[in-house]
Amino acid sequence: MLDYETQRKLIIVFVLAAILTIIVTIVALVFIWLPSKENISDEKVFEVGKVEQPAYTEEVVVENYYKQMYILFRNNDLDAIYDLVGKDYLEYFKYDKEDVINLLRDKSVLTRGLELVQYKSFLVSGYTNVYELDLKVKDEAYTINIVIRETSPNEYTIAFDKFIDYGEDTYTSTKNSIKLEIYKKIRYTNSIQYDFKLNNGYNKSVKINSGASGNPLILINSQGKTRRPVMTTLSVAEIELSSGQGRSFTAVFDIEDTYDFITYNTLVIKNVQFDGMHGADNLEFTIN
Amino acid sequence: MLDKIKTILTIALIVIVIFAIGYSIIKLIISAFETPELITMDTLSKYTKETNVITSYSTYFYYENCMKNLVEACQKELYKELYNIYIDDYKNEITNDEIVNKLKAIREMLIPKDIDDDIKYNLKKLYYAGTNYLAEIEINNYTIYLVFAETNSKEIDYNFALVK
Repeated sequence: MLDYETQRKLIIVFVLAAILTIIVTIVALVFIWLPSKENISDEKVFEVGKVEQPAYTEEVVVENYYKQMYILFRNNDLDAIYDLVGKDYLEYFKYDKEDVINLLRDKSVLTRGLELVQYKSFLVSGYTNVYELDLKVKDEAYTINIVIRETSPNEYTIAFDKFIDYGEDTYTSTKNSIKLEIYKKIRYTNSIQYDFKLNNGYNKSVKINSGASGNPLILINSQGKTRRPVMTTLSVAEIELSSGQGRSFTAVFDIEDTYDFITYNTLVIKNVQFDGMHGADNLEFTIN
Repeated sequence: MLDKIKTILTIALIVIVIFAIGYSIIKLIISAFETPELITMDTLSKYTKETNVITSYSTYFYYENCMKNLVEACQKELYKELYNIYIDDYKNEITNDEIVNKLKAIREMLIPKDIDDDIKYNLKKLYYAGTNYLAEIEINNYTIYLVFAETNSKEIDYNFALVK
């Protein structure tokens, strides 16, 4: 017969052994059932004809264009870069291939790795999307602004320094015998410039900005948002056009905080005084 | 008088119904004998118009995935599986042996043996082509055109055919 102390020790040893056995069993079971590395891999079995609808995000598109630009500039692929530059950009600045290469050399961005600092994207007309990429040379302070104009996925041209496009499509609109003819439109990512001509079709003279009460031009979008020109040759002074006379002007409007280029569709010329008539009119021209 | 009107209406109704049924049957018979127009290199310009270009990114990305899947299948030389997803209408024109050879030719075109590890391909443009899609693909300086079609099969997401 074992004494009490020995019995107590045996019970403790038994209990400890039981606990140890349970722990070992649990560990063994976990080890057995733990999924192997192959099973927990995300890689799916390849099946011909089976594809998933990928999630489209703007970031994916921007990343794609950034990578394409990175490769072109890193590899100094001047032919491919030049081929991508929009014809209207070359035409507007009267650049040839050598000029584009010199521009990029001046910016010290060729053969260098580029980092995407920031981007903006917006629709400028119809199906044309614009992606404005600000890229910086790695470990340097040099930056380059590339504007990508995309008409369909992966179908695009590029321009530099915030230039979007340039057109000589003429918009003509007539109000109260005054004809407005926009003969040039230059769009940047932060502004829009109109070169236009005003023709006086009235049988007497007309005063634009009669009374010279500030700048007479206002650009309005479809939501009623108004823009005053940041620069214009149609000055704050009164301008008189005799009957049949026409004069050309330029006006630049800042668009940066809205990017809704499409919606700006009305140009207002304030305080137009027709000779022989009382009071002055504000003329609203549709420009899109 | 009322009876006359009723008779005229009844006859008119019967004539309309007979005409509608007859028209539908004739249409059905004609469509059964009609062969669908297949896209060939000769008729390509009919489909590659700017107005047919797909501007939707989700569609573009989807068929880009189809293209990747196809390239991978070619890399793995899965001809039998590629045959299964070849568009039936385009199969009708050729024998099975020719199809295998054609698929091998596609494979050769997609992945020339000497540049197996450096294949560069790009879904350049995607067009609407009736109920199908036409893909212009650049592969290692080649341009090929593939027709992609949706399927009703649960096991297969797309069919394809090479435009020749």
